[in-house]
Amino acid sequence: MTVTDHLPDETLSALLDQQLEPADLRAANAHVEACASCAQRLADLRSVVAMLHSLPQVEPPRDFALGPRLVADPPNVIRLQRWYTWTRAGAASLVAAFVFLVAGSVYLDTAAPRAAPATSALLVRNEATAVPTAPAAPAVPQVARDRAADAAQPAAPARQPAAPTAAQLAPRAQSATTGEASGAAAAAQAPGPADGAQPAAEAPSDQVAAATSVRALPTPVPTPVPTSALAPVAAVTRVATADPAAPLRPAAVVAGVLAVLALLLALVMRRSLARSRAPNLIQE
Amino acid sequence: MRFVDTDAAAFEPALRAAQQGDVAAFNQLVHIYQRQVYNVCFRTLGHAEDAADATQDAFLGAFRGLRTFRGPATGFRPWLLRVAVNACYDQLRRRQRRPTDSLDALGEAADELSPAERLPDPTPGPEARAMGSETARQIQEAIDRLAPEQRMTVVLCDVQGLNYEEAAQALGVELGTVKSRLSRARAQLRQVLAEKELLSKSARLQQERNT
Repeated sequence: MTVTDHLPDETLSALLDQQLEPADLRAANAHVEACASCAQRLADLRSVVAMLHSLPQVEPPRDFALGPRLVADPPNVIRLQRWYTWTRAGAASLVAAFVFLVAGSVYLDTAAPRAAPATSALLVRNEATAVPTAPAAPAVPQVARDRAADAAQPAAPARQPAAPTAAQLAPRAQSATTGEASGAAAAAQAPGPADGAQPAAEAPSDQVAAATSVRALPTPVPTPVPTSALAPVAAVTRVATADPAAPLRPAAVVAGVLAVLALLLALVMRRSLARSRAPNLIQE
Repeated sequence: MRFVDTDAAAFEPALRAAQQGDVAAFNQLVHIYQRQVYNVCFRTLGHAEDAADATQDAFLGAFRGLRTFRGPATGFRPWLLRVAVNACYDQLRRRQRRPTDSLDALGEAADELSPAERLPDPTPGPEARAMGSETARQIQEAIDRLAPEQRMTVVLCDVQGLNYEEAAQALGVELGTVKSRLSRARAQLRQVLAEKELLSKSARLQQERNT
């Protein structure tokens, strides 16, 4: 028997474990009987296996039972936890959206007067004032009407004197605008009260400036009327007509309702999570 | 076989409850198997602390993945051992990232083998009776020098006493692979232990027994 014929390790290993087919087993046994080298290897391998088998068992250093700190939540709780996380995130973003939309509409409400074109605002004002004071029109001095007409404002004559405070303001305004034109001022004052005539003629320069500047603008609006008196009316009108914040409000409402629902849902989930987790704490 | 598997039918209810997420039921299974799982990890890793980490990882992983376990309760042990084997591979990978002095680790491991911790072996061979902690340490050192795949196989088959089929299941390989890995591992161990002159005595004993 030559060296190349020695049994391979796998055969010896299988022989040890009685894993050889009967034919192979007979052949292997016959070889081992005849071959001292293979017999020694087999003996060594047997000894190796025996030593491995007799390695002492070690005692686990601790209990590996899953405690509350280590325990991974059971699958159903894990799912619930996942849903809870998403719901919470959804509720948070809905609340954020709600706050953003409310803040946005409030901002647009307050910022609009400044941002909006002056012409439209002023137009609205004048229209608002025109109606209630229409009966007062006869009281308007002819001069005022003429002045307004001069300004190439077809609608102006009717409106301008229509202001509630027209009695005092109209003359003043006229005097202001015509101040540079000298003599006309006195004529304008004539219908006004005697006492108020003089101060009005000497109207503060800023008022004059304001009035003139308005006139000077290409806008078709003479505004002798004090804006403060008409501001509320104007605000209401403006809201009704041109409101940039209008689409934000329903969106805010929707977001708010959804946010409340999501928060409620998250609360319910949190409760059931707390309940389903309680049994896991039995193991210390 | 080193470990006699507890009658699988006995813990079938616990297994099913554990699959539904019952931690207490799962911990019953932990108490049945933690000893074997820890020993597999300890012999594969040769390090008590790493073995404890791997064991804990294995049970956590088993609990999380328990729903994927199909079949009768008898299949649970190979399944669990497979989770443990994977936990050992993970631990080996982790250890490669943080290289520690393996000799120190071995020393620690051997120190922890106090006589009180050793189980009386039901079928002690002559080597087992004669085996002191020094011999056990040298055998463990020889195991540690094997390639991971061979180490896993030899630990499952020769240290834990699993048969080829069980080992194949636990390792997730074919039966033939178990055979070849085992034979290579044994051959290499024979060489290493012969160099350490640990085989002479047992080989002599073996030959005496044969004659």
